[in-house]
Amino acid sequence: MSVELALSDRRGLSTVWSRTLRDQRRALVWWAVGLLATVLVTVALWPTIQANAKQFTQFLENLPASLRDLFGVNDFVTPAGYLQARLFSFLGPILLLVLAVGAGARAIAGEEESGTLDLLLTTPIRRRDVVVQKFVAMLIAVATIVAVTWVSLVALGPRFDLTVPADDLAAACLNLFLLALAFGTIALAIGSATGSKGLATGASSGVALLTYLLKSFAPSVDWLEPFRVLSPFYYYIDHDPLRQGVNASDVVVLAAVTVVALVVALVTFERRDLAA
Amino acid sequence: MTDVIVAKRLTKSYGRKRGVIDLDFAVPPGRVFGYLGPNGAGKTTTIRTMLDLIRPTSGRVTVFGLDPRRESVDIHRRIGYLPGELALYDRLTGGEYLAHIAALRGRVDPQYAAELVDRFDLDPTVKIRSLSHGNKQKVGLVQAFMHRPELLVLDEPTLGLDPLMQQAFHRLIAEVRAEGGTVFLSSHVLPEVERLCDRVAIIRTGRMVAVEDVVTLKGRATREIELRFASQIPADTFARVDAVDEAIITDAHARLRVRGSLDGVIKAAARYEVLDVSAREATLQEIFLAYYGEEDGGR
Repeated sequence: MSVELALSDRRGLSTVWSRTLRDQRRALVWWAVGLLATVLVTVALWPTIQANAKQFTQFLENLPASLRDLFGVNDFVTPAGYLQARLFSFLGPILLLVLAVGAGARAIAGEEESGTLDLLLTTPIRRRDVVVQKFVAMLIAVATIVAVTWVSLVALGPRFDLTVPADDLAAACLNLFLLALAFGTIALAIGSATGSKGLATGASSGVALLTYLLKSFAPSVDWLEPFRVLSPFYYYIDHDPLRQGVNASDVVVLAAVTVVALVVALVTFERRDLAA
Repeated sequence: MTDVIVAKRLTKSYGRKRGVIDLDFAVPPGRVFGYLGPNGAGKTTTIRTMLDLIRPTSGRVTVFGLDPRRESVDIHRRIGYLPGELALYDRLTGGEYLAHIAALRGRVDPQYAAELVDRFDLDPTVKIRSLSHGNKQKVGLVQAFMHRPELLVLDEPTLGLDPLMQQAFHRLIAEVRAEGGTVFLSSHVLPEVERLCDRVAIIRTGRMVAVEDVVTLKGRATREIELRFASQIPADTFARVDAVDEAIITDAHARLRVRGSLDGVIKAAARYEVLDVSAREATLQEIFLAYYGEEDGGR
Protein backbone atom coordinates (compact mmCIF):
# COMPACT_ATOMS: atom_id res chain seq x y z
CA MET A 1 0.00 0.00 0.00
CA SER A 2 1.47 3.32 -0.99
CA VAL A 3 2.09 5.83 1.76
CA GLU A 4 -0.37 8.38 0.39
CA LEU A 5 -3.24 5.93 0.13
CA ALA A 6 -2.58 4.57 3.60
CA LEU A 7 -2.50 8.04 5.11
CA SER A 8 -5.70 9.34 3.57
CA ASP A 9 -8.54 9.97 5.99
CA ARG A 10 -10.88 7.02 5.70
CA ARG A 11 -13.44 7.94 8.30
CA GLY A 12 -16.96 7.77 6.99
CA LEU A 13 -15.96 6.21 3.68
CA SER A 14 -17.10 2.66 4.26
CA THR A 15 -20.80 3.18 3.51
CA VAL A 16 -23.04 5.42 1.42
CA TRP A 17 -24.85 6.92 4.43
CA SER A 18 -21.66 7.79 6.28
CA ARG A 19 -20.06 9.29 3.18
CA THR A 20 -23.17 11.40 2.62
CA LEU A 21 -22.94 12.75 6.17
CA ARG A 22 -19.19 13.23 5.79
CA ASP A 23 -19.83 15.47 2.79
CA GLN A 24 -22.21 17.53 4.92
CA ARG A 25 -20.14 17.67 8.06
CA ARG A 26 -19.09 21.34 7.78
CA ALA A 27 -22.58 22.43 6.86
CA LEU A 28 -24.01 20.47 9.79
CA VAL A 29 -21.65 22.19 12.22
CA TRP A 30 -22.96 25.55 10.97
CA TRP A 31 -26.54 24.33 11.26
CA ALA A 32 -25.87 23.33 14.88
CA VAL A 33 -24.29 26.72 15.61
CA GLY A 34 -27.23 28.45 13.91
CA LEU A 35 -29.89 26.62 15.92
CA LEU A 36 -27.94 27.16 19.14
CA ALA A 37 -27.79 30.90 18.38
CA THR A 38 -31.50 30.97 17.50
CA VAL A 39 -32.37 29.34 20.81
CA LEU A 40 -30.03 31.67 22.68
CA VAL A 41 -31.55 34.81 21.18
CA THR A 42 -35.07 33.48 21.80
CA VAL A 43 -34.59 32.65 25.46
CA ALA A 44 -32.47 35.77 26.12
CA LEU A 45 -35.40 37.96 25.07
CA TRP A 46 -37.77 36.24 27.50
CA PRO A 47 -37.01 38.46 30.55
CA THR A 48 -37.86 41.58 28.52
CA ILE A 49 -41.11 40.08 27.24
CA GLN A 50 -42.06 38.93 30.71
CA ALA A 51 -41.40 42.38 32.17
CA ASN A 52 -43.72 43.95 29.61
CA ALA A 53 -46.29 41.20 29.60
CA LYS A 54 -49.24 43.56 29.88
CA GLN A 55 -48.38 45.65 26.83
CA PHE A 56 -47.71 42.55 24.73
CA THR A 57 -51.00 41.01 25.68
CA GLN A 58 -52.80 44.21 24.74
CA PHE A 59 -50.92 44.38 21.47
CA LEU A 60 -51.86 40.80 20.63
CA GLU A 61 -55.49 41.34 21.45
CA ASN A 62 -55.60 44.19 18.94
CA LEU A 63 -54.29 41.98 16.13
CA PRO A 64 -56.79 40.24 13.86
CA ALA A 65 -57.30 36.62 14.88
CA SER A 66 -56.23 35.30 11.48
CA LEU A 67 -52.87 37.07 11.74
CA ARG A 68 -52.33 35.60 15.20
CA ASP A 69 -53.14 32.17 13.81
CA LEU A 70 -50.78 32.63 10.89
CA PHE A 71 -47.79 33.09 13.15
CA GLY A 72 -49.09 30.86 15.89
CA VAL A 73 -48.98 33.74 18.34
CA ASN A 74 -51.76 33.48 20.88
CA ASP A 75 -50.12 33.45 24.21
CA PHE A 76 -46.95 35.41 24.66
CA VAL A 77 -46.70 35.53 28.40
CA THR A 78 -46.34 31.98 29.65
CA PRO A 79 -43.01 30.20 29.01
CA ALA A 80 -44.68 27.50 26.88
CA GLY A 81 -46.76 30.02 24.95
CA TYR A 82 -43.75 32.23 24.35
CA LEU A 83 -41.59 29.35 23.06
CA GLN A 84 -44.40 28.11 20.86
CA ALA A 85 -44.92 31.56 19.38
CA ARG A 86 -41.27 32.45 18.94
CA LEU A 87 -39.72 29.12 18.05
CA PHE A 88 -41.99 26.16 17.48
CA SER A 89 -44.80 27.50 15.33
CA PHE A 90 -42.78 29.24 12.66
CA LEU A 91 -39.02 29.72 12.84
CA GLY A 92 -38.13 26.22 14.04
CA PRO A 93 -40.15 24.36 11.37
CA ILE A 94 -38.85 26.67 8.64
CA LEU A 95 -35.22 26.08 9.58
CA LEU A 96 -35.57 22.32 10.01
CA LEU A 97 -37.61 21.98 6.82
CA VAL A 98 -34.95 23.82 4.85
CA LEU A 99 -32.35 21.40 6.24
CA ALA A 100 -34.43 18.27 5.65
CA VAL A 101 -35.82 19.20 2.21
CA GLY A 102 -32.32 20.13 1.06
CA ALA A 103 -30.92 16.81 2.22
CA GLY A 104 -33.85 14.89 0.76
CA ALA A 105 -33.64 16.60 -2.63
CA ARG A 106 -29.88 16.09 -2.85
CA ALA A 107 -30.04 12.47 -1.74
CA ILE A 108 -30.81 10.86 -5.10
CA ALA A 109 -31.64 13.70 -7.51
CA GLY A 110 -28.58 15.72 -6.47
CA GLU A 111 -26.23 12.81 -7.13
CA GLU A 112 -28.04 12.03 -10.36
CA GLU A 113 -27.74 15.61 -11.62
CA SER A 114 -24.07 15.81 -10.74
CA GLY A 115 -23.51 12.44 -12.47
CA THR A 116 -21.96 10.64 -9.50
CA LEU A 117 -24.87 8.21 -9.26
CA ASP A 118 -23.70 6.17 -12.27
CA LEU A 119 -20.56 4.89 -10.59
CA LEU A 120 -22.28 4.47 -7.24
CA LEU A 121 -24.96 2.25 -8.78
CA THR A 122 -22.49 0.13 -10.73
CA THR A 123 -20.88 -1.02 -7.51
CA PRO A 124 -22.52 -4.16 -6.10
CA ILE A 125 -25.22 -2.25 -4.23
CA ARG A 126 -28.93 -2.43 -4.93
CA ARG A 127 -30.82 0.71 -5.82
CA ARG A 128 -33.12 0.34 -2.86
CA ASP A 129 -30.16 0.10 -0.50
CA VAL A 130 -28.86 3.40 -1.81
CA VAL A 131 -32.25 5.01 -1.17
CA VAL A 132 -32.43 3.57 2.35
CA GLN A 133 -28.89 4.67 3.17
CA LYS A 134 -29.57 8.17 1.86
CA PHE A 135 -32.71 8.26 4.02
CA VAL A 136 -30.70 7.19 7.06
CA ALA A 137 -28.15 9.95 6.41
CA MET A 138 -30.94 12.53 6.25
CA LEU A 139 -32.57 11.13 9.38
CA ILE A 140 -29.30 11.38 11.32
CA ALA A 141 -28.66 14.94 10.12
CA VAL A 142 -32.16 16.14 11.08
CA ALA A 143 -32.11 14.26 14.41
CA THR A 144 -28.74 15.77 15.29
CA ILE A 145 -29.84 19.34 14.67
CA VAL A 146 -33.14 18.83 16.53
CA ALA A 147 -31.19 17.31 19.43
CA VAL A 148 -28.92 20.37 19.49
CA THR A 149 -32.07 22.52 19.67
CA TRP A 150 -33.49 20.51 22.57
CA VAL A 151 -30.20 20.52 24.52
CA SER A 152 -29.85 24.28 23.95
CA LEU A 153 -33.38 24.89 25.26
CA VAL A 154 -32.90 22.69 28.31
CA ALA A 155 -29.48 24.16 29.10
CA LEU A 156 -30.07 27.83 28.30
CA GLY A 157 -33.77 28.36 29.16
CA PRO A 158 -33.44 28.31 32.96
CA ARG A 159 -30.59 30.84 32.83
CA PHE A 160 -33.12 33.36 31.53
CA ASP A 161 -35.88 32.18 33.77
CA LEU A 162 -37.64 30.41 30.90
CA THR A 163 -38.58 27.06 32.34
CA VAL A 164 -40.55 24.46 30.41
CA PRO A 165 -40.26 20.84 31.62
CA ALA A 166 -37.56 18.97 29.67
CA ASP A 167 -39.97 16.20 28.70
CA ASP A 168 -42.46 18.67 27.23
CA LEU A 169 -39.61 20.28 25.31
CA ALA A 170 -38.65 16.81 24.15
CA ALA A 171 -42.21 16.17 22.98
CA ALA A 172 -42.20 19.39 20.94
CA CYS A 173 -38.75 18.55 19.53
CA LEU A 174 -39.88 15.03 18.64
CA ASN A 175 -42.74 16.52 16.65
CA LEU A 176 -40.34 18.96 15.02
CA PHE A 177 -38.07 16.08 14.05
CA LEU A 178 -40.94 14.01 12.63
CA LEU A 179 -42.36 16.98 10.72
CA ALA A 180 -39.01 17.83 9.13
CA LEU A 181 -38.30 14.17 8.36
CA ALA A 182 -41.71 13.82 6.68
CA PHE A 183 -41.10 16.73 4.31
CA GLY A 184 -37.47 15.68 3.78
CA THR A 185 -38.68 12.22 2.76
CA ILE A 186 -41.28 13.74 0.44
CA ALA A 187 -38.41 15.63 -1.24
CA LEU A 188 -36.40 12.38 -1.37
CA ALA A 189 -39.36 10.63 -3.01
CA ILE A 190 -39.90 13.33 -5.63
CA GLY A 191 -36.17 13.36 -6.37
CA SER A 192 -36.09 9.56 -6.62
CA ALA A 193 -39.10 9.51 -8.94
CA THR A 194 -38.01 12.33 -11.25
CA GLY A 195 -34.26 12.85 -10.85
CA SER A 196 -34.82 16.59 -10.60
CA LYS A 197 -33.42 18.32 -7.55
CA GLY A 198 -35.23 21.55 -8.39
CA LEU A 199 -38.59 19.82 -8.66
CA ALA A 200 -37.95 17.88 -5.45
CA THR A 201 -37.12 21.07 -3.56
CA GLY A 202 -39.83 23.20 -5.12
CA ALA A 203 -42.71 20.74 -4.93
CA SER A 204 -42.04 19.65 -1.36
CA SER A 205 -41.59 23.26 -0.24
CA GLY A 206 -44.83 24.12 -1.99
CA VAL A 207 -46.68 21.31 -0.22
CA ALA A 208 -45.18 22.50 3.08
CA LEU A 209 -46.32 26.08 2.48
CA LEU A 210 -49.85 25.09 1.45
CA THR A 211 -50.35 22.70 4.34
CA TYR A 212 -48.95 25.29 6.73
CA LEU A 213 -51.44 27.87 5.48
CA LEU A 214 -54.22 25.27 5.66
CA LYS A 215 -53.43 24.51 9.29
CA SER A 216 -53.14 28.23 10.12
CA PHE A 217 -56.36 29.42 8.53
CA ALA A 218 -58.54 26.38 9.11
CA PRO A 219 -59.56 27.42 12.65
CA SER A 220 -60.93 30.78 11.43
CA VAL A 221 -62.36 29.79 8.04
CA ASP A 222 -65.43 27.60 8.37
CA TRP A 223 -65.26 25.68 5.12
CA LEU A 224 -61.54 24.95 5.60
CA GLU A 225 -61.99 23.65 9.10
CA PRO A 226 -62.66 19.96 8.22
CA PHE A 227 -59.58 19.87 5.96
CA ARG A 228 -57.04 20.78 8.58
CA VAL A 229 -56.49 17.09 9.38
CA LEU A 230 -54.81 16.90 5.97
CA SER A 231 -52.01 19.16 7.14
CA PRO A 232 -48.93 17.60 8.76
CA PHE A 233 -48.61 20.85 10.72
CA TYR A 234 -51.89 20.06 12.47
CA TYR A 235 -50.35 16.90 13.94
CA TYR A 236 -47.15 18.75 14.61
CA ILE A 237 -48.49 21.46 16.91
CA ASP A 238 -52.26 21.59 17.36
CA HIS A 239 -52.25 19.30 20.39
CA ASP A 240 -49.89 21.63 22.17
CA PRO A 241 -46.90 19.36 22.87
CA LEU A 242 -45.19 22.04 24.96
CA ARG A 243 -47.97 21.68 27.54
CA GLN A 244 -49.55 18.30 26.79
CA GLY A 245 -46.43 16.28 26.04
CA VAL A 246 -46.31 13.49 23.47
CA ASN A 247 -49.50 12.68 21.60
CA ALA A 248 -49.15 9.13 20.31
CA SER A 249 -51.56 9.47 17.39
CA ASP A 250 -49.79 12.62 16.15
CA VAL A 251 -46.47 10.76 16.24
CA VAL A 252 -47.98 7.85 14.34
CA VAL A 253 -49.50 10.08 11.63
CA LEU A 254 -46.29 12.05 11.07
CA ALA A 255 -44.21 8.86 10.99
CA ALA A 256 -46.70 7.32 8.56
CA VAL A 257 -46.20 10.22 6.12
CA THR A 258 -42.48 9.48 6.19
CA VAL A 259 -42.98 5.75 5.68
CA VAL A 260 -45.34 6.24 2.75
CA ALA A 261 -42.95 8.73 1.12
CA LEU A 262 -40.04 6.34 1.61
CA VAL A 263 -41.96 3.50 -0.01
CA VAL A 264 -42.80 5.76 -2.96
CA ALA A 265 -39.09 6.62 -3.25
CA LEU A 266 -38.07 2.94 -3.22
CA VAL A 267 -40.65 1.84 -5.76
CA THR A 268 -40.23 4.70 -8.24
CA PHE A 269 -36.44 4.68 -8.14
CA GLU A 270 -36.31 0.94 -8.78
CA ARG A 271 -38.27 1.26 -12.03
CA ARG A 272 -36.74 4.28 -13.59
CA ASP A 273 -34.05 5.05 -16.16
CA LEU A 274 -31.28 7.18 -14.73
CA ALA A 275 -30.41 10.42 -16.46
CA ALA A 276 -27.12 10.28 -18.31
CA MET B 1 -16.98 -20.67 -23.87
CA THR B 2 -20.12 -18.61 -23.83
CA ASP B 3 -20.09 -14.98 -24.82
CA VAL B 4 -19.68 -12.41 -22.07
CA ILE B 5 -22.08 -9.86 -23.50
CA VAL B 6 -24.91 -10.74 -25.86
CA ALA B 7 -27.27 -8.16 -27.35
CA LYS B 8 -30.34 -9.34 -29.23
CA ARG B 9 -32.39 -6.78 -31.11
CA LEU B 10 -31.54 -4.36 -28.32
CA THR B 11 -33.57 -1.19 -28.72
CA LYS B 12 -33.79 1.90 -26.59
CA SER B 13 -35.89 4.82 -27.73
CA TYR B 14 -36.19 8.16 -26.03
CA GLY B 15 -39.28 9.63 -27.59
CA ARG B 16 -38.09 11.77 -30.44
CA LYS B 17 -34.50 11.68 -29.27
CA ARG B 18 -32.41 9.00 -30.90
CA GLY B 19 -31.51 5.89 -28.96
CA VAL B 20 -30.32 2.58 -30.35
CA ILE B 21 -32.24 0.30 -32.71
CA ASP B 22 -32.10 -3.50 -33.09
CA LEU B 23 -28.52 -3.98 -31.99
CA ASP B 24 -27.15 -7.52 -32.33
CA PHE B 25 -23.68 -8.35 -31.15
CA ALA B 26 -21.77 -10.75 -28.95
CA VAL B 27 -18.58 -10.15 -27.05
CA PRO B 28 -16.54 -13.35 -26.69
CA PRO B 29 -14.54 -13.91 -23.51
CA GLY B 30 -10.91 -12.92 -23.35
CA ARG B 31 -11.20 -10.44 -26.19
CA VAL B 32 -10.95 -6.70 -26.48
CA PHE B 33 -14.13 -5.60 -28.20
CA GLY B 34 -14.13 -2.17 -29.77
CA TYR B 35 -17.34 -0.22 -29.98
CA LEU B 36 -16.80 2.43 -32.53
CA GLY B 37 -18.89 5.35 -33.59
CA PRO B 38 -19.07 9.11 -33.63
CA ASN B 39 -20.34 11.03 -30.62
CA GLY B 40 -24.09 10.69 -30.26
CA ALA B 41 -24.25 7.39 -32.18
CA GLY B 42 -25.64 5.50 -29.16
CA LYS B 43 -22.48 4.05 -27.60
CA THR B 44 -23.21 5.31 -24.10
CA THR B 45 -26.86 4.27 -24.38
CA THR B 46 -25.79 0.70 -25.19
CA ILE B 47 -23.41 0.61 -22.26
CA ARG B 48 -25.94 1.98 -19.81
CA THR B 49 -28.46 -0.74 -20.72
CA MET B 50 -25.79 -3.38 -20.05
CA LEU B 51 -25.29 -1.94 -16.57
CA ASP B 52 -28.98 -1.53 -15.69
CA LEU B 53 -28.69 2.24 -15.46
CA ILE B 54 -31.39 2.37 -18.12
CA ARG B 55 -33.77 -0.34 -19.33
CA PRO B 56 -34.21 -1.41 -22.95
CA THR B 57 -37.43 -0.49 -24.75
CA SER B 58 -37.35 -3.87 -26.49
CA GLY B 59 -34.92 -6.65 -27.18
CA ARG B 60 -32.45 -7.70 -24.55
CA VAL B 61 -28.88 -7.70 -23.46
CA THR B 62 -27.23 -10.17 -21.11
CA VAL B 63 -23.91 -9.90 -19.30
CA PHE B 64 -22.29 -13.17 -18.12
CA GLY B 65 -25.61 -14.70 -19.19
CA LEU B 66 -27.34 -12.64 -16.47
CA ASP B 67 -30.23 -10.24 -16.82
CA PRO B 68 -29.15 -6.69 -15.89
CA ARG B 69 -32.55 -5.86 -14.41
CA ARG B 70 -32.91 -8.85 -12.09
CA GLU B 71 -29.26 -9.66 -11.43
CA SER B 72 -27.62 -6.26 -11.53
CA VAL B 73 -25.68 -6.75 -8.30
CA ASP B 74 -24.13 -9.99 -9.56
CA ILE B 75 -23.13 -8.26 -12.78
CA HIS B 76 -21.78 -5.19 -11.03
CA ARG B 77 -19.64 -7.32 -8.75
CA ARG B 78 -17.79 -8.70 -11.78
CA ILE B 79 -17.41 -5.58 -13.89
CA GLY B 80 -15.29 -2.46 -13.82
CA TYR B 81 -16.90 0.58 -15.39
CA LEU B 82 -15.52 3.87 -16.58
CA PRO B 83 -18.32 6.24 -17.60
CA GLY B 84 -17.91 8.53 -20.57
CA GLU B 85 -18.89 11.55 -18.57
CA LEU B 86 -17.01 10.86 -15.41
CA ALA B 87 -18.31 12.55 -12.26
CA LEU B 88 -16.65 11.89 -8.91
CA TYR B 89 -17.28 13.19 -5.40
CA ASP B 90 -15.57 16.58 -5.52
CA ARG B 91 -15.16 16.87 -1.78
CA LEU B 92 -13.05 13.74 -1.50
CA THR B 93 -9.42 13.34 -2.47
CA GLY B 94 -8.56 10.80 -5.16
CA GLY B 95 -7.36 8.39 -2.47
CA GLU B 96 -10.52 8.83 -0.41
CA TYR B 97 -12.68 8.26 -3.45
CA LEU B 98 -10.85 5.04 -4.24
CA ALA B 99 -11.12 3.95 -0.60
CA HIS B 100 -14.88 4.63 -0.70
CA ILE B 101 -15.48 2.67 -3.90
CA ALA B 102 -13.20 -0.12 -2.65
CA ALA B 103 -15.25 -0.32 0.57
CA LEU B 104 -18.52 -0.51 -1.40
CA ARG B 105 -17.07 -3.15 -3.72
CA GLY B 106 -15.23 -5.24 -1.18
CA ARG B 107 -12.53 -7.66 -2.31
CA VAL B 108 -10.19 -4.96 -3.61
CA ASP B 109 -6.51 -5.79 -3.31
CA PRO B 110 -5.04 -2.58 -1.80
CA GLN B 111 -1.60 -3.52 -3.08
CA TYR B 112 -2.84 -3.61 -6.66
CA ALA B 113 -4.84 -0.40 -6.22
CA ALA B 114 -1.73 1.35 -4.93
CA GLU B 115 0.27 -0.03 -7.85
CA LEU B 116 -2.26 1.40 -10.31
CA VAL B 117 -2.13 4.78 -8.57
CA ASP B 118 1.65 4.75 -9.02
CA ARG B 119 1.48 3.61 -12.63
CA PHE B 120 -0.87 6.41 -13.56
CA ASP B 121 1.26 8.84 -11.60
CA LEU B 122 -1.76 9.99 -9.64
CA ASP B 123 -1.44 12.07 -6.49
CA PRO B 124 -4.16 10.58 -4.24
CA THR B 125 -3.94 13.38 -1.66
CA VAL B 126 -5.38 16.09 -3.92
CA LYS B 127 -9.08 16.97 -3.67
CA ILE B 128 -10.92 15.82 -6.77
CA ARG B 129 -12.40 19.32 -7.11
CA SER B 130 -8.92 20.65 -7.94
CA LEU B 131 -7.86 17.83 -10.27
CA SER B 132 -7.50 18.43 -14.01
CA HIS B 133 -9.72 16.48 -16.40
CA GLY B 134 -6.89 14.08 -17.18
CA ASN B 135 -6.20 13.43 -13.51
CA LYS B 136 -9.87 12.77 -12.79
CA GLN B 137 -9.80 10.30 -15.66
CA LYS B 138 -6.92 8.52 -13.92
CA VAL B 139 -9.00 8.18 -10.74
CA GLY B 140 -11.79 6.79 -12.92
CA LEU B 141 -9.46 4.27 -14.55
CA VAL B 142 -7.99 3.09 -11.25
CA GLN B 143 -11.45 2.51 -9.75
CA ALA B 144 -12.45 0.54 -12.86
CA PHE B 145 -9.40 -1.74 -12.77
CA MET B 146 -8.58 -2.03 -9.08
CA HIS B 147 -10.73 -5.06 -8.26
CA ARG B 148 -9.43 -6.99 -11.27
CA PRO B 149 -12.89 -7.39 -12.82
CA GLU B 150 -13.69 -10.13 -15.33
CA LEU B 151 -15.19 -7.55 -17.66
CA LEU B 152 -14.14 -3.96 -18.17
CA VAL B 153 -16.66 -1.59 -19.68
CA LEU B 154 -14.83 1.54 -20.72
CA ASP B 155 -16.59 4.49 -22.32
CA GLU B 156 -14.06 6.71 -24.10
CA PRO B 157 -11.27 5.73 -21.69
CA THR B 158 -8.41 7.83 -23.00
CA LEU B 159 -10.31 11.08 -23.26
CA GLY B 160 -8.13 13.78 -21.73
CA LEU B 161 -5.16 11.52 -21.03
CA ASP B 162 -1.75 12.71 -22.17
CA PRO B 163 0.20 10.40 -24.54
CA LEU B 164 2.31 8.96 -21.75
CA MET B 165 -0.76 7.97 -19.75
CA GLN B 166 -2.41 6.60 -22.87
CA GLN B 167 0.57 4.27 -23.16
CA ALA B 168 0.17 3.27 -19.52
CA PHE B 169 -3.47 2.54 -20.30
CA HIS B 170 -2.59 0.48 -23.38
CA ARG B 171 -0.15 -1.60 -21.33
CA LEU B 172 -2.86 -2.19 -18.75
CA ILE B 173 -5.28 -3.40 -21.41
CA ALA B 174 -2.60 -5.74 -22.75
CA GLU B 175 -2.12 -7.17 -19.24
CA VAL B 176 -5.84 -7.66 -18.74
CA ARG B 177 -6.05 -9.47 -22.05
CA ALA B 178 -3.04 -11.63 -21.15
CA GLU B 179 -4.81 -12.65 -17.95
CA GLY B 180 -7.93 -13.62 -19.88
CA GLY B 181 -10.04 -10.58 -19.05
CA THR B 182 -12.66 -9.20 -21.42
CA VAL B 183 -12.84 -5.55 -22.40
CA PHE B 184 -15.69 -3.62 -23.98
CA LEU B 185 -14.15 -0.40 -25.18
CA SER B 186 -16.18 2.39 -26.68
CA SER B 187 -14.31 4.99 -28.62
CA HIS B 188 -14.46 7.43 -31.45
CA VAL B 189 -10.67 7.35 -31.67
CA LEU B 190 -9.90 4.93 -34.49
CA PRO B 191 -6.17 4.31 -34.09
CA GLU B 192 -6.85 3.37 -30.49
CA VAL B 193 -9.44 0.75 -31.42
CA GLU B 194 -7.22 -0.49 -34.21
CA ARG B 195 -4.36 -0.90 -31.82
CA LEU B 196 -6.17 -2.41 -28.85
CA CYS B 197 -9.10 -4.38 -30.17
CA ASP B 198 -9.56 -7.85 -31.65
CA ARG B 199 -13.06 -7.29 -32.81
CA VAL B 200 -14.98 -4.17 -33.54
CA ALA B 201 -18.59 -3.11 -33.88
CA ILE B 202 -19.31 0.03 -35.79
CA ILE B 203 -22.40 1.94 -34.77
CA ARG B 204 -23.94 4.91 -36.40
CA THR B 205 -27.10 6.86 -35.56
CA GLY B 206 -28.23 4.07 -33.28
CA ARG B 207 -27.78 1.24 -35.76
CA MET B 208 -25.07 -1.37 -36.08
CA VAL B 209 -23.19 -0.87 -39.34
CA ALA B 210 -20.73 -3.76 -39.00
CA VAL B 211 -19.38 -6.26 -36.49
CA GLU B 212 -16.14 -7.86 -37.55
CA ASP B 213 -12.68 -8.93 -36.50
CA VAL B 214 -10.27 -6.06 -36.93
CA VAL B 215 -8.10 -8.29 -39.14
CA THR B 216 -11.00 -9.15 -41.46
CA LEU B 217 -12.08 -5.58 -41.62
CA LYS B 218 -8.65 -4.47 -42.63
CA GLY B 219 -8.37 -7.35 -45.13
CA ARG B 220 -11.59 -6.30 -46.78
CA ALA B 221 -10.54 -2.74 -46.98
CA THR B 222 -8.84 -1.16 -49.92
CA ARG B 223 -5.11 -0.62 -49.88
CA GLU B 224 -3.14 1.96 -51.73
CA ILE B 225 -0.30 0.62 -53.89
CA GLU B 226 2.30 2.74 -55.62
CA LEU B 227 4.52 1.35 -58.32
CA ARG B 228 7.44 2.98 -60.04
CA PHE B 229 8.58 1.52 -63.36
CA ALA B 230 11.79 1.89 -65.39
CA SER B 231 9.87 3.28 -68.35
CA GLN B 232 6.45 4.42 -69.38
CA ILE B 233 3.70 1.76 -69.15
CA PRO B 234 0.41 1.50 -71.08
CA ALA B 235 -2.55 3.22 -69.47
CA ASP B 236 -4.56 -0.02 -69.53
CA THR B 237 -1.94 -2.14 -67.76
CA PHE B 238 -4.21 -2.84 -64.80
CA ALA B 239 -7.54 -2.51 -66.58
CA ARG B 240 -8.24 -6.22 -66.49
CA VAL B 241 -7.29 -6.81 -62.89
CA ASP B 242 -10.52 -7.28 -60.90
CA ALA B 243 -9.03 -6.30 -57.55
CA VAL B 244 -8.13 -2.82 -58.77
CA ASP B 245 -10.81 -0.27 -57.99
CA GLU B 246 -9.00 2.69 -59.34
CA ALA B 247 -5.76 3.20 -61.27
CA ILE B 248 -4.02 6.48 -61.93
CA ILE B 249 -1.15 6.02 -64.34
CA THR B 250 1.19 8.84 -65.24
CA ASP B 251 4.18 7.86 -67.43
CA ALA B 252 6.23 5.39 -65.39
CA HIS B 253 4.24 5.78 -62.20
CA ALA B 254 1.06 3.98 -61.05
CA ARG B 255 -1.11 4.65 -58.07
CA LEU B 256 -3.73 1.94 -57.44
CA ARG B 257 -6.52 1.32 -55.01
CA VAL B 258 -6.72 -2.42 -54.48
CA ARG B 259 -9.31 -4.53 -52.71
CA GLY B 260 -8.42 -8.06 -51.60
CA SER B 261 -5.58 -10.08 -53.10
CA LEU B 262 -2.58 -8.37 -54.68
CA ASP B 263 -1.79 -11.31 -56.93
CA GLY B 264 -3.32 -9.90 -60.14
CA VAL B 265 -1.60 -6.57 -59.61
CA ILE B 266 1.83 -8.13 -59.11
CA LYS B 267 1.43 -10.36 -62.19
CA ALA B 268 0.30 -7.48 -64.36
CA ALA B 269 3.15 -5.28 -63.15
CA ALA B 270 5.76 -8.00 -63.66
CA ARG B 271 5.52 -7.62 -67.43
CA TYR B 272 7.47 -4.38 -66.99
CA GLU B 273 10.59 -3.50 -65.09
CA VAL B 274 9.50 -2.53 -61.57
CA LEU B 275 11.82 -0.18 -59.70
CA ASP B 276 9.84 0.26 -56.52
CA VAL B 277 6.64 -0.89 -54.82
CA SER B 278 5.06 0.65 -51.77
CA ALA B 279 1.82 -0.43 -50.13
CA ARG B 280 -0.04 1.35 -47.42
CA GLU B 281 -2.54 -0.55 -45.36
CA ALA B 282 -5.86 1.13 -44.85
CA THR B 283 -6.39 2.57 -41.40
CA LEU B 284 -9.67 2.09 -39.64
CA GLN B 285 -10.21 5.75 -40.28
CA GLU B 286 -10.55 4.99 -43.96
CA ILE B 287 -12.59 1.87 -43.30
CA PHE B 288 -14.83 3.87 -41.06
CA LEU B 289 -15.30 6.57 -43.65
CA ALA B 290 -15.88 3.93 -46.29
CA TYR B 291 -18.72 2.43 -44.24
CA TYR B 292 -20.24 5.80 -43.67
CA GLY B 293 -19.60 6.88 -47.22
CA GLU B 294 -21.77 4.05 -48.52
CA GLU B 295 -24.77 5.87 -47.22
CA ASP B 296 -24.13 9.54 -47.40
CA GLY B 297 -20.74 10.10 -48.97
CA GLY B 298 -18.81 10.61 -45.80
CA ARG B 299 -19.53 12.63 -42.74
